[in-house]
Amino acid sequence: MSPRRPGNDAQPAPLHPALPLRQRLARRARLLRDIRAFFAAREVLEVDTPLRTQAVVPEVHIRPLACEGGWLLPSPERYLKPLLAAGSGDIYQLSHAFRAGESGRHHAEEFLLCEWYRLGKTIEELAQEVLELMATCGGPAADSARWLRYEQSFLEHCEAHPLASSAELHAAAVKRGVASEGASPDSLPAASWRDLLMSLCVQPALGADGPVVLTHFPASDSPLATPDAEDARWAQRFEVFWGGLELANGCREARAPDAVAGAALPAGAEYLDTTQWSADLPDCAGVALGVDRLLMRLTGAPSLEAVQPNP
Amino acid sequence: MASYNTNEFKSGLKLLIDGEPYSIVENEFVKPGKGQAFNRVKIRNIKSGRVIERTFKSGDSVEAADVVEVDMQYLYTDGEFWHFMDPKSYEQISADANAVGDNNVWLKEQDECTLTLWNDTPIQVLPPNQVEMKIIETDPGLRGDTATGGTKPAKLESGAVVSVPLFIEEGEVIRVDTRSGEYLSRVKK
Repeated sequence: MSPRRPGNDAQPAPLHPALPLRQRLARRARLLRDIRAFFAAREVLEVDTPLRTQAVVPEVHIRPLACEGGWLLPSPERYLKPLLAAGSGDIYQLSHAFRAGESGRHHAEEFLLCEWYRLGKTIEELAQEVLELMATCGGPAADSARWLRYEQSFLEHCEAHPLASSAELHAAAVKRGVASEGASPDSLPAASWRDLLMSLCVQPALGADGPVVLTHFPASDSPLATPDAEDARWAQRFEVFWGGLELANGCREARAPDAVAGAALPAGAEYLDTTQWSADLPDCAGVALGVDRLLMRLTGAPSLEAVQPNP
Repeated sequence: MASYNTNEFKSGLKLLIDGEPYSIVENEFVKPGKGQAFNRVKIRNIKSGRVIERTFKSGDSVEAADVVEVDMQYLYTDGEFWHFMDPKSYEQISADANAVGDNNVWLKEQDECTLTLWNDTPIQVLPPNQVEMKIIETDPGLRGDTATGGTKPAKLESGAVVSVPLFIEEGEVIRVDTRSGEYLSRVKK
């Protein structure tokens, strides 16, 4: 690994699961303190909105976790956007988020999310702010990040264009050994073949030597983001990677999002009616950062579990 | 037919893939920010031992392989089949040469073996980790030579040939590690 320049302070010692509990908790507490100090200095207000909802935000690939009287939120977006529409100004929330069925080395059904919204900012400005936050918390310097378009990273690592047909993407997946030849190209939509290549071939290679900001995601995968002004095939959406792990994803919020095609509504759920406030949503960009994942990378911990207080 | 959802995947789970029984070695859940989730698994073919990788769309179901492991006592071989008995039910089962493989030389009557059954048919036979067997053929022992560390070949009652220290005599019983085929110790009778 190439040497990394620390942010403000010297890099803290790696967090090992065998470290005493108090030491692990202290490292996590320091990260939370750093995040709060970062936003306080920038006059972004902390808000604490409800974690439970009766109506869900439509998402194709995120399943909310059921609870008594509704659903636990997969992100605070559902309550933050109405606040923005009502004139809150810049806000952030540091709270647990819930996603049914997600569990693994880098996933948990319950995890800590830091989500914030900035008025009048472009996605480039917001991505830069994510990098600055990471640096403030002991991560690599913001100017060490590499910026590239989704298309470019895809061509680099998959030898296929991200907007190619199912058949072409399937062929690329077979060539890279991540799909079997026997699988029919039509067994998955092109977007899913793209996700497969992204997860297994592109993402692990991103950010080995410092953070990577990926921009211009396929518009078809980003219904809640504003399309790119010059080329509507791409959305004003970005993700920040560090060490092959996605730490944050954000976008310029669409004011009147299109209906989310293919979003599966869980049994008994109803979609959130956004019509009352969506027209008043100010021009803003929002981003959500996985705090556990950031802590994993800051400390060299091997899994999400290793940094959570009660895994 | 029994099946498993990808969210039940964990190492050791037995799956039926392309008509062959597999055991999960490693399961990784992957998901891009807003995209489709997948389970990337390393699986071992229980018959051949070969490890391959497969990707499943999260939420999909995969047929379960009816694979169980049972401890059974080895009885005898008739040259074509190796016969085993459940020590509790006295039920007998026979395994063919494919299932027994190279382990045939470690099978000793009365020893308890682990049989892997797929649809009630043995596909693998594992002998105990250590077996005791009598030497039926070896060069005469060098009495008193317990220190030089030299070895010589010795043929066991099962036909297996192992390297033993020079002082070991024909007719002695020795303990052997069946995983490595190495001599462990002499057994005083």
